[in-house]
Amino acid sequence: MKIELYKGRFKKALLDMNKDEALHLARKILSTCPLQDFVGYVLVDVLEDIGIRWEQGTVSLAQIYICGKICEQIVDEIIPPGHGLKSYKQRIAIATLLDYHSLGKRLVASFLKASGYTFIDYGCGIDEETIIEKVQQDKIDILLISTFLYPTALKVKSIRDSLDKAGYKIRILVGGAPFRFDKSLWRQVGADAMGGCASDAVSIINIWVEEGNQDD
Amino acid sequence: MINATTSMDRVLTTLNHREPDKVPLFLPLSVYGAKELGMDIKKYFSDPKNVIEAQIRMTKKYNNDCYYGFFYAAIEFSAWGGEIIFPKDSPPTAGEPVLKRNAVPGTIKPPDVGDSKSLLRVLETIQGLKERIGNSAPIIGVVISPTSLPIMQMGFDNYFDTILERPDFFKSLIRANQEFCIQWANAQLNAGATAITYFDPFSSTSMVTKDMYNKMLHNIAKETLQRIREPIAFHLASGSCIPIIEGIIDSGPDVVGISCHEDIGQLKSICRDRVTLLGNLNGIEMCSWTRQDSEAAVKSIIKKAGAGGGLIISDNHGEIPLQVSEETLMAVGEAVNKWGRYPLTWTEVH
Repeated sequence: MKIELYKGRFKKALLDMNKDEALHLARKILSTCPLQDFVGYVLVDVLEDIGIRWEQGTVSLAQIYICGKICEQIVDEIIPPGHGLKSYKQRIAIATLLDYHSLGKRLVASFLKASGYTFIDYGCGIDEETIIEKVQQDKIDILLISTFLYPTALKVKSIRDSLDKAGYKIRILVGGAPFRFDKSLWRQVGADAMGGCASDAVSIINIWVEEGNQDD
Repeated sequence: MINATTSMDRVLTTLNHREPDKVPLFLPLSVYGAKELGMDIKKYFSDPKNVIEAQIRMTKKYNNDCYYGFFYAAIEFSAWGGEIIFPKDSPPTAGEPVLKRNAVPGTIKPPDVGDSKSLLRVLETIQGLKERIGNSAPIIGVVISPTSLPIMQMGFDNYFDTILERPDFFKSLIRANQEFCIQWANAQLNAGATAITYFDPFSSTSMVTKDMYNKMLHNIAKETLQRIREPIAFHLASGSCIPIIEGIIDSGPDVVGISCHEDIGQLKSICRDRVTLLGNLNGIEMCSWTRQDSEAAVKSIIKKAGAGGGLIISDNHGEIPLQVSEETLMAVGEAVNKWGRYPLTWTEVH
C-alpha cells in the first residue's frame, strides 16, 4: 500500500521533471522493498506508463528525456555497482543509423539502463556496413536501430538482408519518426518489431529476453 | 466564391478566409527538384539555376500553387559553421553539433547572412524565381525558429539540458539565434519571397510541455514574428499544437502548419476566420500511397476544413520525400482539382 502511494508520487515527480523529489521518493520506496521489486515493479512500470502517455500525445519529449535521465541517475546512484538486476544471456547493442539526431537512442538507452539492462552503444552517424560488421564481431543477439529520416529507415532492409545472407541470426528492433508516421514500415524493412517509444522498446526487449531464457 | 485567376489570387483569398475558386495546394518540393532534373543532390543545390528550373517545372507539373525557395533545414546550421552531410537519397542533414554545452553565455554571435555562400545561393534562387514568375504565385522562404535551430547546433540532449539547467546560457543562445532568424527571414523577403515559413517543431507539445511553451517559448516566437515582415506560416513540422494553439495564434502568424496526427476538423473549429490551416497530409505514408489513397486523404481534409476558405492543402512536415512517386503527387493535385472546387456542395449534410 505504501509502495503504491509513493509510486504515484514518484511518477508525478518524474513528469514534473523534479529530480530531487524523484530521487527522494526512490530512496523511500527502496527502504520498503527489495531492489528487484523497485526496478521491476516501480521503475519499469512507471516508465512504461509514461511512454504510453507520450504515444497518446499527453506527455512531451522533454518529459520523456528528463524521466529517462533521472531514472538512469537513480540506477547509477542508488543501485550498487555490479548488482545483477537482470539475468539474461542475450547480447544487446544500440545505434543511430546514419544521422546525428541521437536523442531517440539516448532515450531508449536511458530506459534500458533504468530497467537493468547492459548493452553496447555503437553511437550515432554509423553506416550500414559498419553495423553489419560490428554486430557479428560482438556476437549481438538483439540490435536496436534508431532512425530519423525515411530514407534511412529504408536502409534497415539492407542490414537485415546482409545479415540473413551471412546466416547470422539476430533480432532487430527499430524506432524513430519514420516508423511512427507509417505503422507498417517496420515490417517492410524486415525488422522484428518497432518500438513506438522508449518504454515500448524495453517491453519488447523484456519479451525477447524472457523467450531467450526459456530456450535454455 | 471568388474567381481566382492566378495561384496568388487563390492563396490570398483563402488567407482572407474567403472561398477562392478552389482550395490551394502547397507541395513543399525541395530536394525533389534533384529528382526532377535527374541530378545528384549536392550538385543540384550548388547552382541556383538548377533550383529555379526545377521549381518552375514542378509547379506546373503538379498544379502547385507555390514556389518553394527552401533548400534544406541544415543550410542554416552550415551558416553557423556546421558540416552538412549530403546523402544520395535524402535531404542534406546536419553533421555533428557545433556548440558545446559548456559554452560561455554572451560568446555566441550570429553569423552574417552575406558571409554564407549557401544562404546567398538561396537568395539568388528567390530573386531568380521572382524575375521569372512575378506575382503570379507566392514564393515561400523558410527560416528555422530561434528555439529550434539549437537542436542542430547543440544536439537535442545537450539543448534540453541547457534549457533546464542553464537558463542564462539558454537566453544568450536564443538571443543570438533570434537575431540571425530575423536577419535571414527579412533577407529572403527582400530577395522577393512573398511569405516566410517559420519552422518551429520545438514549440510543439510533442517536444515540450504546454507549461514550458507558455513560460519559455511563446514570447520568443511572438517577438521574432513581430520583427519579420508578414505573412508568416508558423509550421510545427509534424509536431502537435492543439494544446498551445491559442498561444501560436497570439504570436501573430497568418498560417499554421499542422500535424497529420491532429484532427484538422477540431483545429478548423478553433482557427476559423483567425488563421489559415496548412496541412496535413502524411508525407511518410505518401511514399506508399495508391491513387485511391491520395484521393481519400485530400478529400477528407477538404471535407473537414475546406468550408469558408482558410485552408491550404499540404503535407504535414514541410518536405515531400524523394520516395513519393510522381504519380502520387499528380493524384494529389487531381484530387484537389476534383474535390476542392468551391462551393463545396458535396460536403454539405443533407
